[in-house]
Amino acid sequence: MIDAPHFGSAIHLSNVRFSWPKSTFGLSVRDWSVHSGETVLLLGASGSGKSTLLSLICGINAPQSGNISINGTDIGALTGTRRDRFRADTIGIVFQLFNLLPYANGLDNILLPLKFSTQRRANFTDPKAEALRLAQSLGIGPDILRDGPASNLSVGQQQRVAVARALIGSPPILVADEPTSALDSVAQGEFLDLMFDQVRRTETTLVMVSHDERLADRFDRVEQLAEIIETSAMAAP
Amino acid sequence: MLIRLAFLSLKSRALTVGLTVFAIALSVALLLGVEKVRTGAKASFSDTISDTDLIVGARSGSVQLLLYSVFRIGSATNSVSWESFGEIANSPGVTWAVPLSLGDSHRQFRVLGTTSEYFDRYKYRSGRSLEFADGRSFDDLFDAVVGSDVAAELGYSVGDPIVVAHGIASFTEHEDTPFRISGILAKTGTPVDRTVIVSLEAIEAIHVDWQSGAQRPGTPTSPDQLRAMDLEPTAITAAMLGVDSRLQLFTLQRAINDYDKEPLLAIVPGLALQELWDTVGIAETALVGVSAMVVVTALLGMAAMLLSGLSARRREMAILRAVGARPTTIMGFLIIEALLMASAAAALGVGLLYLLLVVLQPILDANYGLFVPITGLDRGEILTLIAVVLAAGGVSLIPAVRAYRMSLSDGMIVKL
Repeated sequence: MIDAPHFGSAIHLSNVRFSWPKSTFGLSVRDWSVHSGETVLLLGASGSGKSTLLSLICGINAPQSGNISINGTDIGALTGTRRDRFRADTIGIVFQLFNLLPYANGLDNILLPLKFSTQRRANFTDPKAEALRLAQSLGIGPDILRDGPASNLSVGQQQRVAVARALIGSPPILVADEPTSALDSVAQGEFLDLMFDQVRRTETTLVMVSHDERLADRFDRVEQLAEIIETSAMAAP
Repeated sequence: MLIRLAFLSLKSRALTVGLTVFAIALSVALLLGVEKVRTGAKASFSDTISDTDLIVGARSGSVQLLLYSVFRIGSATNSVSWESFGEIANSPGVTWAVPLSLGDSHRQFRVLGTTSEYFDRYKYRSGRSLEFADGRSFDDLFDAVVGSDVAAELGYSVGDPIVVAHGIASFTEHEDTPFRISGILAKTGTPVDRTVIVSLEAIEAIHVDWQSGAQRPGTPTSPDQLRAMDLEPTAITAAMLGVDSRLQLFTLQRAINDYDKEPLLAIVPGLALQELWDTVGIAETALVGVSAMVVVTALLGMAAMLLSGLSARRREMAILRAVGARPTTIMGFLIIEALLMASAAAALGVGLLYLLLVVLQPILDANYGLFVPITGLDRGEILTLIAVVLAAGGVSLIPAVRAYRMSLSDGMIVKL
């Protein structure tokens, strides 16, 4: 666990309150931050508000009150459209399962974020070559990417393609929601090795949610979700 | 890229999408087909007679006069006296006059008595003249010219004998006056194809030995005796007139309608055709309306198909949102899918239409005398296709707005 105050803050939440519309589930975060380039593991069971927290960090939902600052930008102050563009530019996301558009091939899936972020696309002249390179470094050969729709890939392959998609164009932040829970322990280790290689090399900030404490020693910092967020089953004020 | 993704997404649901597209394509083919048949029907209808300025008959309704004189449907309630015809034919401004005498039949075909000038004056399809496929006009008193359908259906060729019956659908045939076929007309697509044409004198000749519908007792008059007789008719059914100028046309029409020696009616064929079409046309318009409704139904089916697929596609939308797609992009994605389907359906529909036209054209022509020309798509049809595609975009707003709402409320949590 590295306490490094000289790092810039990549993610900072203060006094955040959020509740889902037409729902009694609410969540609040008093003060929590992740430094730039830091890798953080959030431990928590499902139902602990982790998806809601990630939705807020990614700017898919906006809090009713409080401040969420990503790379120095208060995303709560952005309009929905600008928030979506900001997310496309800044954050790569990997889900637990079903990360890929099943009908498109792996290559199309990796290139998908570039459609929505001119900033990430501007990083290279040949996006396809970059996608193939990135996939290769994650252990996915070009044949697998081009050979038929993503639904034909194994779960392990799908998760690696998802990481390639999240990382293409080097967004400063990678958010991963239980990306290994569908993999067996060998595949888990291999997957994390490859992902960490990339993350360390590009100095990407990583926030990963999991319920598996065994993963902890790979991360700079480990936190219990329950200590960060307060959930309430009552309507938010 | 979004279009490519939409295409891939549709491809992955090939069966449902294929059926939906086929339904729209069928409805489009139906709509365009009805329109083509309608245009074809109207064209062949108004092409039935041209270059005739006035048709004169005994006073009745203008549509009725048109029906019996041109379409050989129904019969005249009264006749026009030969004196009146002569007087009208010699009126100032009248350049030509062709008498028409109807009332006899041969098998199921009507017999028309007229002069040989008929073959020069009767025009159809904007000025086309009648042509002989074989033989020539009548020379002798007992010469008959038959239309192409008559020849084809009864297997006649030039020189064959033909018996003309008195009255329509009568069994008492004029066996004692044997006619001979002198010519067969080329196909016109008009009622002329189904007509036996003889001279006016011949019509008189076959009635010489008949009185009040029954044969006069005694030896029938021989053909040679008939040829020597003066067979000037006393009355005709109707007449076709040509006049000098449009100006005189209406003066002459009024004069004939006000004729004091007998009640007559003169009609301008083009106007009467229009009047008749307006009556028939209501049914045609209804048909177009019904086929337009079929298109709307097919499009609503597509909207329902997209809508019912939405909940299975929540994951897909969450992925798109995660990589930075706006909710409006998700909306656009669904609209693009609808537009792609409708465009494919429009293209397929046009293909089906031409396939149907190629198959059905000879059948329609042979059985109903309806000639539907196979032409390219006209401006109206292209506009119709564009309208169908735009309407598809319109109805796709229903699932698109729903997808928009879903992608806003789902966030990153997707219940599977």
